[in-house]
Amino acid sequence: MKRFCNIFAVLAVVAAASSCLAKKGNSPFRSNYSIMDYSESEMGSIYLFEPVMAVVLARDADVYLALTDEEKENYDTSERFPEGLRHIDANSINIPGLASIYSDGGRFDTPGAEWTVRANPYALTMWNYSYRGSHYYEAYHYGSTTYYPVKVQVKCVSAGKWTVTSRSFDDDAMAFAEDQITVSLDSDTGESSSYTVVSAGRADEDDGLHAECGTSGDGVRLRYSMGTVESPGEESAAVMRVRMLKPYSGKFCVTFYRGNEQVDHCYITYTEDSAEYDVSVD
Amino acid sequence: MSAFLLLCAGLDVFAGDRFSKGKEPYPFDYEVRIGWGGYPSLDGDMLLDGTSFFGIVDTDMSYDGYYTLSNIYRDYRGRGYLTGIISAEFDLNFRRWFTLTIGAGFSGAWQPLYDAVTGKKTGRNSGFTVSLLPEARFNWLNRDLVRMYSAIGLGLTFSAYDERDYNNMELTLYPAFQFTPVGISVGRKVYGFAEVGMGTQFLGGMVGMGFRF
Repeated sequence: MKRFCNIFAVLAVVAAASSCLAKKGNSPFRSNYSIMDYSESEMGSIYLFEPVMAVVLARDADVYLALTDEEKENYDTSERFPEGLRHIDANSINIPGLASIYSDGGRFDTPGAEWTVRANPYALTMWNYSYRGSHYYEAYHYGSTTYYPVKVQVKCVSAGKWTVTSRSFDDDAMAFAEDQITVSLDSDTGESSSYTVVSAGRADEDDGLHAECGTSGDGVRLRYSMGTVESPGEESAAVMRVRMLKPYSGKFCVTFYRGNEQVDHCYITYTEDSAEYDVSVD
Repeated sequence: MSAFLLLCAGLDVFAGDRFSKGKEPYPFDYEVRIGWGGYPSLDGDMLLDGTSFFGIVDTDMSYDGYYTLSNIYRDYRGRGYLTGIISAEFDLNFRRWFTLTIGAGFSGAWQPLYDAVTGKKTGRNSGFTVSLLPEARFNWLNRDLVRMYSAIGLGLTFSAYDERDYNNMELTLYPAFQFTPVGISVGRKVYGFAEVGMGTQFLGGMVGMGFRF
């Protein structure tokens, strides 16, 4: 009898000790990282990087489309189009896995010209190569996988200056006012080209949440070039040619609102060596 | 309804056969018992995201890079609580060695919600599970005051959880399974019991009281 009571007591203790353990709470999604990430990856994409890449790709396509048929046949595409190049029609080309560029039949640098760039958004990937001490935005060839494209329409305002008129991704379409997002060509050495972006915008969501963004001062300057990166492989590293876009000067500011109250901010200051983030959340 | 009555009549005939082997019959035909047990691992996993069925492994649902303001400023979840499994059973003693149990279990869960900016409490997510679990219980030790047993059961569980932070009511129906390797009851007409078990109802142990008649 005593033995059974001992067994009962042990089982009772096991039962009592193993019940109703609670789960630890979650960390808030609002954090230094999420504010910074949203500012640069979401707002920065729409108001800085996509406009410049659209202009870069359209300028590349413009060089090719302006050639005669004979010149096109003899054109070495490996330099400007390492991903390859396919014709859509007489006024449009496709860069496999990266983008399709649709001209209006004229030259891209003609005032009034309106071109469309449909890009694979996952080919435009932000990498922060801290070991190089720089911070740049790369466009990769991602093969033939189909993604929802991001579509950017660009209009030439004057020689060397363009404005983004609209942008759409999946079901989300945005129209921009004249000069709301402008991209100006500063210089082009052949090996690299430099641009200044001046932009301002806003993102609205449910529950009174919205974010406002914009460049400050003279805008943000970005440098585009074609470079190489090594992709480590199992047996040997693969060298890939990549399009590199590096912001090197200027400030991009994002403020976050809940209703009329500003709750957070992220101010990004770009320099030649790095990007500095002033975020309201520690 | 008629099928159910036929089933009960059939079971009663089977129960009356307990004299056939000539062994002394178990003195009580029926039992009712209530118990409380835990840890309800699967309930924790189904209702409070991030727990694991086989352990108390906490995973933090932190920002995963999904770029919306709604995600960043969503209320965040505090500590999750479970009531443990509260069960009620009706048992039929067909043989000294065999009992058929028909059990119902209830388990509650809740988590407070906090504002992402101010940290103040804004409400809570809450829900429950109910399960219906018939079990076959094998009584391998039958003394005057003590019985020891093992059991196995298969049934159904329904759960409902109000996720206010996502404006979502999660309703789920899934199989219930429970295995009791060892249990003990001590007492005659009124008894206490304790058992260890593993399954969808709980992983750990259960204690309670019962009444035989």
